Amino acid sequence: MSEQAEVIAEFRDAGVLAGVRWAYESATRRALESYSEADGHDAAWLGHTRFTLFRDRLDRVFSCMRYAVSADEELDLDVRYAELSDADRVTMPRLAPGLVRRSDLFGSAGWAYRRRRFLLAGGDFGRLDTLPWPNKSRTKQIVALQRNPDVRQPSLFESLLPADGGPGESGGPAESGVIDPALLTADRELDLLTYVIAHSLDPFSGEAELVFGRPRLNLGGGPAWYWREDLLAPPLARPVDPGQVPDAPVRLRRPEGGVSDVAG
Amino acid sequence: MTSPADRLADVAAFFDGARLTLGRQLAGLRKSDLAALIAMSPTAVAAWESGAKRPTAGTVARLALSLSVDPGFFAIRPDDVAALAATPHFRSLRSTSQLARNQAFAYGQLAVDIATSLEKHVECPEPDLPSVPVPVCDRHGDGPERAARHVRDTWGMGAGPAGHLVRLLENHGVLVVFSPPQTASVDAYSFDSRLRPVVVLNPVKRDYYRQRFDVAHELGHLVMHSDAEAGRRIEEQAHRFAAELLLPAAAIRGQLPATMGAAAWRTLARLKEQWGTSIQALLYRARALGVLSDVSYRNAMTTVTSRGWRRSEPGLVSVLEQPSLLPRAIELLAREDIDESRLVEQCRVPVDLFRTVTSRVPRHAPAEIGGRVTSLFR
Repeated sequence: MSEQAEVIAEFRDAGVLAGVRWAYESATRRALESYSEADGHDAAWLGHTRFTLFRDRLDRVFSCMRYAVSADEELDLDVRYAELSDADRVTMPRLAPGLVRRSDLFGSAGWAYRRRRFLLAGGDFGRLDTLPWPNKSRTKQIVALQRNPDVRQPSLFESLLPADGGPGESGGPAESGVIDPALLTADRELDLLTYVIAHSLDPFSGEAELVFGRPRLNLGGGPAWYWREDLLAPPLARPVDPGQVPDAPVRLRRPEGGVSDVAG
Repeated sequence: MTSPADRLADVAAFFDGARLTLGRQLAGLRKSDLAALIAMSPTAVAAWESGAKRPTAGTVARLALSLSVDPGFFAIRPDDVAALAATPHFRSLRSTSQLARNQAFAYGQLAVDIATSLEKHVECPEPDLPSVPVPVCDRHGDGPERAARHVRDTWGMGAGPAGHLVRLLENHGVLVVFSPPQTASVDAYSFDSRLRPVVVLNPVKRDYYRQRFDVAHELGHLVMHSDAEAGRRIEEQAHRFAAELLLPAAAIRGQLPATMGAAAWRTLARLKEQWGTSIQALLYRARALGVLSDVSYRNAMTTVTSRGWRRSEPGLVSVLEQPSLLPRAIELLAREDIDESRLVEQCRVPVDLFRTVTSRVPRHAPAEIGGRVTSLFR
């Protein structure tokens, strides 16, 4: 079984993916409702708001941080549902507290289920497949440097390092587009296998993208993922077994003009 | 009791030229071929078929013998089948001879004829097919995609994978039958008739995933091309319709691989089972949607060829989608003590052809047909 199939099945079966999808849909809906160019909002505002709300909704659905359960169940529910729309309250998956825990990595918000962690990364709509990790934070670069479990031979990234590549920033976004050479020789094993959920939103059409995958450090451009799963796609389903589908409704005609009720 | 001679005289009196045309085409013969078999002139055959002249009882007997049918086959019937059906949509016009196409269409007409007889006893779903004409010149528009989305909306198919496609068509009144193995060189085809629209499936593909694409393709013709002339462009449109119906852009775009590698093949195998389409159809879709570059697509197709997947792709579903309208009718009638022989007699067709038309599964192909057109009466 490929890593993708294994991880997706594990997260889906536990209800984690349903929680992530709910969190993102709730966050984008609220962000778009609040967005107003007339009020001076712009793409940066929308991106920041979306991220803040997404992080908040993930904490809510997974009962993390300020939404962690206490002895007062009623108060917990009040806090968890505060400011949510009726639709969001109804559709929020009911997941056991502790199923997913907060697991930040070097200051980046992260959540973990069993031995796997995921972080968040925003991107431009329609461009998540080529999301430039060298332009992202050092943390994301480290995550994108983890070894691809589906490939058995050593990585050849070293040869792709730009000859004049200077050191990147140690904290926030590395806008220069080059990465710290020290990263390439660093240990590629993290404490937990770490994945990224990338998200985007087109403010004009309201269309959103949400993918879960294993990032690939795409120095010099190219694919941003070893694999990625579209979380907004319709639910996975095997095609129906053609032998199990009932016949078309055919009924006998009766001489009186009626028909018998012998459906297929 | 009527003697054979009297019966021949009756048939001669009620001889229908259109039935002779149908019989000749089912036998895979030109007028000149049939004329040679009975030692008459092609002009005479043409005159009988057009109704300008009536054959004698003796000639009817020779015609029946040479085609291997019962003389009753030529007797006039309440509905003139030749006038019932619109021109069918055939693919691969260049690779299929006119003789083979005539034979295939005659078979389709016979299926309508049999359905007409059976529907006197049973009630099938009313035809309920949206009509979304797309002009042949609509090369750069999105007519086929809009038509497919319209069908999805109208039939409440949702945004996800399409279920049992043959049943979907049947539930909306389309007659679906397998063609006989002798006409395997002719791909699936479809036509409208006064009774109901018809889709005739190729019997030898025996691939669940490819058959679904064929069904969607033919549905595209029925929805978009009721009046269109055959040609490459309408075939392309039907392909685009099928691609959008089975793999709607809005749902599939984000799931298709943008580059090819080991992970991409695994993704395609998973999508194949999820959406019920071949890997080749998924690759075609990925290129058409601009997710996969032309170069990657060509390389991927080279791999498909080298793995022998053009003929047979690996897949989990090994059972074909099967038609149910006519087989179900036969089963219901059998419970009412109306057995097959009575129905065959009523339809006046050879029992083998009757069984092929009303079968749930494709009939087995004879050992070797080659490219020749052979009679469906043998």
